Amino acid sequence: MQLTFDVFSGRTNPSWRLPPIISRQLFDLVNDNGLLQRLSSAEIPVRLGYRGLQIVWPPEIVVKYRVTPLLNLPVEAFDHLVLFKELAAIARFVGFFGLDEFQRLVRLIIELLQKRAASSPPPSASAPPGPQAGPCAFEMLPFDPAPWNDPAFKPTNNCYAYAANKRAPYASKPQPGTATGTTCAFPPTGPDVRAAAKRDGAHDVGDCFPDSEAPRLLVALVIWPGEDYHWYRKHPDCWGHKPGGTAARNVDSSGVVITNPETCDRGPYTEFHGYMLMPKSQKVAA
Amino acid sequence: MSILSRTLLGANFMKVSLRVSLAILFLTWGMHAMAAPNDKPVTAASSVVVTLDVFSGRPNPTWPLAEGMTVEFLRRLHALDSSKTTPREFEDLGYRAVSAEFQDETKGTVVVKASRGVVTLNRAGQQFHYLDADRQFELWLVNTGGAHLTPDILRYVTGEIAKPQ
Repeated sequence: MQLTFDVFSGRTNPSWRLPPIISRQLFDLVNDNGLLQRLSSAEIPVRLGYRGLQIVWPPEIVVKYRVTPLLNLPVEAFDHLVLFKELAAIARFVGFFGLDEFQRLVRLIIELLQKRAASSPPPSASAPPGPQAGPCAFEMLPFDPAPWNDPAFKPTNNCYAYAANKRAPYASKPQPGTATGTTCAFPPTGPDVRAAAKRDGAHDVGDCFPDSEAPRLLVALVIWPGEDYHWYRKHPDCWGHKPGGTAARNVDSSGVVITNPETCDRGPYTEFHGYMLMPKSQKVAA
Repeated sequence: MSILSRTLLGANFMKVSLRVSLAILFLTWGMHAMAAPNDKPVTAASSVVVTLDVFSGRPNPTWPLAEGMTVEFLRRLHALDSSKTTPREFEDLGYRAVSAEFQDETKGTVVVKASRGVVTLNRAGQQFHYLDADRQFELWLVNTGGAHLTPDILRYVTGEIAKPQ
């Protein structure tokens, strides 16, 4: 695997050929975060300073996972600081030619990214817009399953209540659309559930809410074709969900912490139907 | 010692033996009475409602167990061997468990839940576990909903039960 840091203007960019163990770990890291699909055709922008990372996958990964050999990871596309911290941690345990220089450069880029983050405007309660949320600001509440798993609330608070962060002692599971008069049709389809959630107050990503509607929550909808729907909600480091009357959790059906609802193990909920924003005023029950 | 004293001693001995015998009898009966709930966890069932725990968003499918099937339900329940193993809760997306809730004339509300080879009976805050070898009890209970479930759901759930654990 060839890893190139797109950082210089005149000089040749620093590049390393990394051993298979790092290739595999870096591939898992990139794949688990959904970057492979999202950035398969991304271009690194032309400007001064650190611009991004270019990865040329080794043939065994290209053949096995049917991915394009070249992947561009522009710095704006996701949090590179996290990626480089992971890289630094992996490289520490692997010896290869040029390791010292590689680690020095990784540390340098971490410092640059940290300085850039420190000099950016002070963080507000809102998260910066991300590719999933479009241009709109949204808030991420810490993952805190305990109140949801209280026996007084657990049986009837379903994925919809969890996504909207509306915990209450419901008589039965709240349904999209019921609060505003028209319950979602059966069998539930992605467009029908989205439309019902919109009637209850949700917006498509890209259709922003004012600050007065904070916390504006980023949620994701999936469908079990012909049978059921399910929602996930974004937290700072993961996605949380609550399958029906079971416990709220941040792991998927394989027990893996959910970092991307598009690619996590969702059992029979095979259709992904995109992201939405749910405001403070979202209604889930009449 | 006089004859009277000897007679009184004999009478006392008889009284003591009678008391001990009665005590043993009551103790044995008491132990049997305490053990009985484990042997026969429920004696009768009425208004049995079955729930398939399978959906996340939508309400789970429920159906009443036909009167004629209640006897078979109890027969199958009583045929299970008790287990000391507390089952792990299975709470993923998709099919999780099938349960039956009903009224027992003497024991109040009872919930019987079958999942992954273990049947758990909840009664007045107490839990009893039983082995469901080959998940036949669970499968039978799911199939009682044949007329209330969509063919796709029935096929999916019975397929999940048939999968090796």
